[in-house]
Amino acid sequence: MSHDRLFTILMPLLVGIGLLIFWEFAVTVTQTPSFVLPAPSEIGTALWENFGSLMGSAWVTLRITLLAFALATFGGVALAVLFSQSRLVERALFPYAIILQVTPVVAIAPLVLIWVGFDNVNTALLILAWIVAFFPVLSNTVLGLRSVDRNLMDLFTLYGASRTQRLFALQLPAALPYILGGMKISGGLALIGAVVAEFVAGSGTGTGLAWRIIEAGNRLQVPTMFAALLLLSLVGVLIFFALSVLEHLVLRSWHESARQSF
Amino acid sequence: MRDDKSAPPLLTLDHVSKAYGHTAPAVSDISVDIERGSFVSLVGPSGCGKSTLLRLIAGLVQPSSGTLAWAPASLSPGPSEQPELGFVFQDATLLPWASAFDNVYLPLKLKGLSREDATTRVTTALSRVGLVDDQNKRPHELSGGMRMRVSIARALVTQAPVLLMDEPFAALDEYTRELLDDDLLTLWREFRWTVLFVTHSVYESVYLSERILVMGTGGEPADGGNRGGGRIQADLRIGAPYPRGYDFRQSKTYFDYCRTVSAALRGESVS
Repeated sequence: MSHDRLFTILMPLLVGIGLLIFWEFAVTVTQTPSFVLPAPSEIGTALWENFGSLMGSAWVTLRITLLAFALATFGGVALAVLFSQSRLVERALFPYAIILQVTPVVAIAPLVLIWVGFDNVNTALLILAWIVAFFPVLSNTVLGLRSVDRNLMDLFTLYGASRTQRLFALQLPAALPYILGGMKISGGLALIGAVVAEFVAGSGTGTGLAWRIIEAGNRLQVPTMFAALLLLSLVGVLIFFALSVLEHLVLRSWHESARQSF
Repeated sequence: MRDDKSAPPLLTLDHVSKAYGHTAPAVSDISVDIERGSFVSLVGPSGCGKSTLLRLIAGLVQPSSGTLAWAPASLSPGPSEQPELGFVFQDATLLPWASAFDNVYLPLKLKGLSREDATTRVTTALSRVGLVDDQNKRPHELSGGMRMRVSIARALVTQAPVLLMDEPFAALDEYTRELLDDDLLTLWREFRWTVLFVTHSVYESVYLSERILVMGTGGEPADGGNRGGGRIQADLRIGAPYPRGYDFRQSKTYFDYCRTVSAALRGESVS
């Protein structure tokens, strides 16, 4: 491992440990009540004691996030491909995709819940997380499909390539760095969407991490709240890391961005 | 190198002009014949419409007025109005995710030829440019000169009778450029392509060509139309015999031709 790499890992780790020590020390010295700000040791204990149920909740949130993310990726790429094939379709639909993106999910959530019914809260969460996650993939893929080298496009024209050949042999591979960039943003947003939707849906959900935070807050079990929050952050980091690895594996053999990372 | 000097031209441009939108024309009132099997260079300063003229010939853009007509016998089968063309751009224009082999295979793949059926042709094309040992490397693993060779091999593999080259060696160092000039001449003499070669280098055009079309934006248009579009200022023949090599590059004849082309570029009348 190079010194640079070691430094990159070690520095944030040392800062984190330093902050935790300072936090523990400050809370103890100032005798701050745990329902205001629990010490890291109390959060660790809460995590240990509720580990099984919290991990179950994390799995529920993760499952909805991943499903929404997968649907957002598929839907975003498919719609972008459709846009690239027809300017008319793009002009007709793109404004609505933007409207969907800029309308706060919190405002749409009650409506979606009414439509799908309170018996199908998970479906509502999925739809809401999808709405939040969908746009970055769409937007990035559209940009990627449009950014293909003009000379390569001309070359395909000269060789008499069909639209399908042009799409699969040129446009989609060329757009891959953009698609993967969109997926990295979308992965985090899918998690945010799932959590926000669960907050809005309230007691109907009952199992995800967001609900565990609400529930613990209502009971003033602030250490458990922090423990759930910690798991949420870990899920987010995990998704980002997994997508970064995917990006590296797909692009490392040819794209400048991936050759410089890792 | 021409098959027959009295034969009808391969390509005839008749009063061809091209304007993009409402801007001044990029090329204006170009009328010229291109003989089959000839090596013709288009020389001129930046912005004089050389590349636009090449793209018009390739069918990548359509003329605003005038006509381009290919000899009927040269047309590729089907509804196409032009023969099969090889095109080499200023940069190598390779698929960055594909190996040298796959880049050369691309035109055949698009024609529906399987990889197995195309292997011999692709390997032959790569060996003609000296890259058969590097066929599994991706473009970023190759030098600028090697990438250009892959691009030439990709044009070679199509067995197209016409090769259009848009300042292909402009980004390369002088030494590599001279090597590729020699390689290109060898391939041209072997395959009897018709080559249209865009360059802004007077020296390169004289070394390579049988004929040089000097382009510029000066001069009164023949039809009394607007100024501004690139037009052909001079049509010069380079009579030096092939093969050409280092001796030709050092000869008085070569420098005399270079002086003549330079004078034509400045708009001086040349005989």
